[in-house]
Amino acid sequence: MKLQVAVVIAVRALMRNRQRSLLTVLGVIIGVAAVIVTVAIGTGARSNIEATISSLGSNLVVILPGNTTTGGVNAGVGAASTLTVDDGLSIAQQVRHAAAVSPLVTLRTQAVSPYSNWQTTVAGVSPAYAFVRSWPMQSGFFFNDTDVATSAKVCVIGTTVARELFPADRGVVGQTITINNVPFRILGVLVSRGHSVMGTDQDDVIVVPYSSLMQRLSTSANGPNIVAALAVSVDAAGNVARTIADISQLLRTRHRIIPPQPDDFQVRNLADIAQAASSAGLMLQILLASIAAVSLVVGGIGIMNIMLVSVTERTREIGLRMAVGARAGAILLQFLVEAVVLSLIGGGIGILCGIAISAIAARVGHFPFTVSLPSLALSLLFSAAIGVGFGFYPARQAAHLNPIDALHAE
Amino acid sequence: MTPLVQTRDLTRLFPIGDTTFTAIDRITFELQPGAFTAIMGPSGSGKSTFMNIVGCLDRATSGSYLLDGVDVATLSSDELADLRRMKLGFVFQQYNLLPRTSSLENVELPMMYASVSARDRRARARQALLDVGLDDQHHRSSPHELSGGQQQRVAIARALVNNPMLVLADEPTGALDSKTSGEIMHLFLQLNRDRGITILMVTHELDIARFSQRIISFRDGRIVGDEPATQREMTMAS
Ligand SMILES: Nc1ncnc2c1ncn2[C@@H]1O[C@H](COP(=O)(O)OP(=O)(O)O)[C@@H](O)[C@H]1O
Ligand SMILES: [Mg+2]
Repeated sequence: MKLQVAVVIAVRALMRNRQRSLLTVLGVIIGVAAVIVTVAIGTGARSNIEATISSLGSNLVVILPGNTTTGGVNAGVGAASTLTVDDGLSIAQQVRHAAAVSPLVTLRTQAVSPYSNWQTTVAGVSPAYAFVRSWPMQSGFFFNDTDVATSAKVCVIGTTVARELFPADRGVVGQTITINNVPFRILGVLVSRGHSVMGTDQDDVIVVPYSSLMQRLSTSANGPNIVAALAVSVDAAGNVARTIADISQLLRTRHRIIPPQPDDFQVRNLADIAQAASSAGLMLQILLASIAAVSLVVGGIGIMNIMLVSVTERTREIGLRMAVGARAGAILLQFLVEAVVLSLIGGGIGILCGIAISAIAARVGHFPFTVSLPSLALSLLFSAAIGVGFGFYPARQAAHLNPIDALHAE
Repeated sequence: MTPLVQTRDLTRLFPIGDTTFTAIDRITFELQPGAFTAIMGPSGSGKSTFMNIVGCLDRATSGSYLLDGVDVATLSSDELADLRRMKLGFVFQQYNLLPRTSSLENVELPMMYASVSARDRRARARQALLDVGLDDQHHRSSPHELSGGQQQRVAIARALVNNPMLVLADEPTGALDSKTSGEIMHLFLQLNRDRGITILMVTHELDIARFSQRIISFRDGRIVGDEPATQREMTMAS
């Protein structure tokens, strides 16, 4: 019997039993869409975390004022705000594996352009910052040491700030924005980094020389040279632990801290924190995958059930087909083709639904939208397998019926 | 002329618990091509069992059965399916049409299993429906939109569409009122006369049996009577 005719027979039979066909298709749709969505969310979340790790700079060490044991990061102004620009300079000079050091001072304020204004974060750093954070430019240049020395009124901006302050068709580099009534010339735009693990928009930032921020913008009475943090890039991943020890030693000496006294700073390896987040992401992915697997198995059993019920309900139809001369092979083929057609339709729709849901989830969850080819292949394979696997047993049951018994079944 | 159907000592036993039940008992019978024959007999006398064996839907326990000179006992179940498709047509009491399926598609069914092109299938199905007196307006109707008599006409068209040598009808009018039954019997008569189709039919009613040329009587799995249906012309005239 020609496959073409078998397909016609199967499609007619499916149309005759629309409701049941629809139910079966629905099961496959849910199963396949579940696989695609969970894989997409899992890999999306992971690649998001991994992107954050590499955006941090793999060997990044951050020094914050305050003590881990007594108050954490936000210990407040005063005693805790003891980290200075000079601490950073001496780390750069004396700690052997510190490749680059940048102070970090931040200010939350309004920026104004000729077109618009925007509430954002202004970060004061040194030219080493771009290196420390491995953050390249999308256009223009980062400022240099001379700009720091002269507290120049220059800045580079993130893509969110560029988008909010300037119309899309305007060149941004060379334009001037006003921060706290001080005009700053834009030297360049940073490459887009997207959202961080914590969900903050990393591109919503204006980066200026730290000296410019301290002398021209900051109104707080933090005192001269006080910074919010120091970012240090270690020359090699293997030297991170040793460098942390060296920095701690140096800062204790500089801050005149004698061992029983607690440190007035803390040194953190951000890569480690991100790594922990990454393995949490892996756990999430495993969890999602097991949910998908369970829904697949449940869906598959449901489909076999429907197919078996279908054979039982259609016993008379099978008997009639045999009476008019269908061979057992033709009956087997019909039921197999029915199952495969249903699963492929379900698989196709499931893939489309899966992609659509993943795309929406990616937008909402701020992670890159990835539909991996392996997960598509897996889903297609799965639909075909459902068709043949779960369809074969009922099909064989049908083909093995005795024509006379089938014909007289109730 | 070689008989179309030739049985010798045909016996069918059904196992009932530890013993066996003899549904038909050493039936020897011949059917000539072109004949219109009726089988009568009380319920349980083995008429359907005999028809099923003649129709190659079931196999005899012992005895021989030659269909068109071929010993059916030697054939595989696939070969039996081929015989049913090419040489036999069935008409059932309950019509056995596929639900939610147009008359055309129902009549196309036997051709789906023969290599007939889609276009020929449609054309032949249409012609077969016209031949049994169903015009175009009924061709796209589903069985539930048709009367019992119309449904049985669709079933007859389906039985005829592969040009069988023998049409087997087990109580074809059993579910119809007497007027419709008469119409169906006239159709059978016409097919037998004009197209020379051999018909073997089971019925309970003598009025129906009289449309045939020969009436076989069954009792307890045996043939107890075999005579010409002499009163046929009289019935038709009335
Ligand atoms: N598959 C079967 N198993 C057991 N007994 C059967 C089977 N088919 C028919 N019979 C028995 O054989 C006898 C003849 O049945 P059947 O040929 O259907 O009679 P009829 O068609 O003349 O009314 C009945 O007594 C019935 O119970
Ligand atoms: Mg019967």
